[in-house]
Amino acid sequence: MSSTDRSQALDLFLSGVERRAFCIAHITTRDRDEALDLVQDAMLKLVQNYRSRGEAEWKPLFYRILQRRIQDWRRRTWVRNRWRVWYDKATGEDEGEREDPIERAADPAGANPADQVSNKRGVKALQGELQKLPFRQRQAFLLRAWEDLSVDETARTMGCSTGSVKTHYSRAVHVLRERLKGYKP
Amino acid sequence: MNPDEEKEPIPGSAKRMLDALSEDLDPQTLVRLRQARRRALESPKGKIPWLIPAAGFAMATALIAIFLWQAEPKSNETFFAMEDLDLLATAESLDFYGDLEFYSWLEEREGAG
Repeated sequence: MSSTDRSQALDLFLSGVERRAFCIAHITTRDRDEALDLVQDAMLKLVQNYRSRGEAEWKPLFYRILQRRIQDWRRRTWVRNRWRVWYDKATGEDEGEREDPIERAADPAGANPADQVSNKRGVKALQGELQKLPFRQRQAFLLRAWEDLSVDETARTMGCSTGSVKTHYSRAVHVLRERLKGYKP
Repeated sequence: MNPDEEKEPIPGSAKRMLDALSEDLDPQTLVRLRQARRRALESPKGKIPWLIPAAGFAMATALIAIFLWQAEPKSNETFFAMEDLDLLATAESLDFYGDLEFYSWLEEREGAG
């Protein structure tokens, strides 16, 4: 495959995954700019380091890079929040004045997901429930159910065993089924 | 969990709902995603980031070498230092050294004569 053909193939691949990648990053970060940065980093890394790999490898590689970027973002955010809590205590700032951004974020699910009847609200309900899932369960669910990655690919992407993937995925499915069982698309 | 349950995990198919979510992105986000893709595709090929620390290391090495070279005492400075030491250690009076040019001229005249 020539360089031009490869660039076109990469363009096609990235245009096919960019929306879903953004949604995956956004569900975790809840911040559009942060999510866009993570997706762009993943695209850059894939193009710079793995453009010569076979096209079949791009998808698991891309999601592996993205998941690592999301993990790094979570660590950075955790450290920043820890630092902020320490600073607030050290300066005597009233913690009540500063809200947790996760708590402050609007609940897109509304009052009760089971009562949602419109498709749009149903989508938001699912988004809200996904945000409430533990990170690893959410990862496993999105990669398996949405990206159609195999158990092996998901395990490689998440950097864990296939057994862990099955456990996380099963728990996520159980929770989502319980919480969204009243929803009719 | 049986395989069928795994494939149809929640009522209404999460996959379909998530597809709807990704199709419903606002135009500004789509523009920025396109820009991000363009930037990635136009980025230099290869592992350029490794060159940056390597170039920095080379630059730092060159600067240190230049600094050491500049700081090294010149050989003629060493010579003058030794000459000064000799001057101070000698038994001759300092006036002798003040009239050194005169004695040199005198020596030349006597040699010529």
